[in-house]
Amino acid sequence: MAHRPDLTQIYRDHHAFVWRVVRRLGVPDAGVDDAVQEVFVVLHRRRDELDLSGSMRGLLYGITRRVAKRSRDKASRAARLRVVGPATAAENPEADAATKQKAEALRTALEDLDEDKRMTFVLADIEGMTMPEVAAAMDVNVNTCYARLRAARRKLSEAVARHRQAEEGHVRSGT
Amino acid sequence: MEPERRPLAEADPLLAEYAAALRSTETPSLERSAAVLASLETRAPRRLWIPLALAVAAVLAALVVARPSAMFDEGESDTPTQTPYRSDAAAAEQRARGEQPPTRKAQPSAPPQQQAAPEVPVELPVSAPEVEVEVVPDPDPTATPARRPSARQPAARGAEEPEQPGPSSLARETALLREIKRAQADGKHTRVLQLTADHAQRFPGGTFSAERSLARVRALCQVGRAAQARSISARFVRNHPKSHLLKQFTLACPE
Repeated sequence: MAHRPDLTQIYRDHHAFVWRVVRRLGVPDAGVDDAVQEVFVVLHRRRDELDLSGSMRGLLYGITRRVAKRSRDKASRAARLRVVGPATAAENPEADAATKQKAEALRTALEDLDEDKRMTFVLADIEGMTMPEVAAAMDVNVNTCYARLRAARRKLSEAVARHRQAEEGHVRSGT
Repeated sequence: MEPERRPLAEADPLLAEYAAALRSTETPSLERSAAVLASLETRAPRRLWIPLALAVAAVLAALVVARPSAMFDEGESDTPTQTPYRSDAAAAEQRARGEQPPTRKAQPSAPPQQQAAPEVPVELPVSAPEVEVEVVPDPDPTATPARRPSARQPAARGAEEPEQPGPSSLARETALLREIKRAQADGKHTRVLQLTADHAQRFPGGTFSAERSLARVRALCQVGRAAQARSISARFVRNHPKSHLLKQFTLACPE
């Protein structure tokens, strides 16, 4: 029997991944912490039925996707009731302004993609998962994943090129 | 036959640059991780939050050591054999002031059993007897009586008593810190003073003592109590020369 990974270790290794994926899946800032927590609660609750021997990130992605969906649904209801916003900016305060702008530009461009393309790009090119891993996580054929990744890259590429151009325009015009 | 996946950096260097920017700016903050942990206590099956607490403790310890710009006061984090939440210097300071550390078994200096298992601290960081970073309440003879009583006024429900450390107290501490930051962002300096005093009473050795002190220094400066602000800053700088907040403290209330 395969050694069962210890939950402590899983949390240590993957909570940042889950946190980023939750955000990419459109959970509003105020619900991110709850969603991340819920993912690990679900993992724990279902540890006996889940196959923990494969890609942990793939498994976590599957859980996260479902949790995020619930969380988005709930957020649209709770938004009317909750006034309190997120605690602090999610961004690393150390990052310089140019880096933050690039990040923001890519975030915005990602939001314009449909979830399949967006998450394929996120898992493959941001999180560095292999294509078979991504395909398993998203429960689709590897070739589908490649097609999605190509499409995502193409669209994002246009978006960041536009951003870069606008930036350079600003610099030239001295604004 | 699988198509080949070209690495992004090769296929599209510009997009790769933006992806790197996104990666570098997005990291869950320590405060958030701590808050997640804290809320697990009430929601997760009982047997779950303990290992998670230990995991978060380890994660925080690793982050605090690895990232000197982390949120917590880690003036003491450069001592790897300790949990990152206390320091000999601060403990000595505490002793020098004749204060008793909270009544737990932990020794003021590095407990040997923690050296034996540095990865998983024996105790939750939230319950570690901690550093009093700043002496708040700050007796201030120059303060006008009108301002001070409100600053002393604690939040409801018997807040004068320090809370027992634990994950749920961390959740409350985090919530209070959020309030402080909101008040700060709104420019409500008097409110910041009230809240930081409340924080100091309820969480005298809290996880966010340094953050709270910094907020207080800035607020004091804004309401014209610069001398007091600078004295708190100076004390912090003296006692926590390696803190990541050092620069902020020195700049918090310029001459």
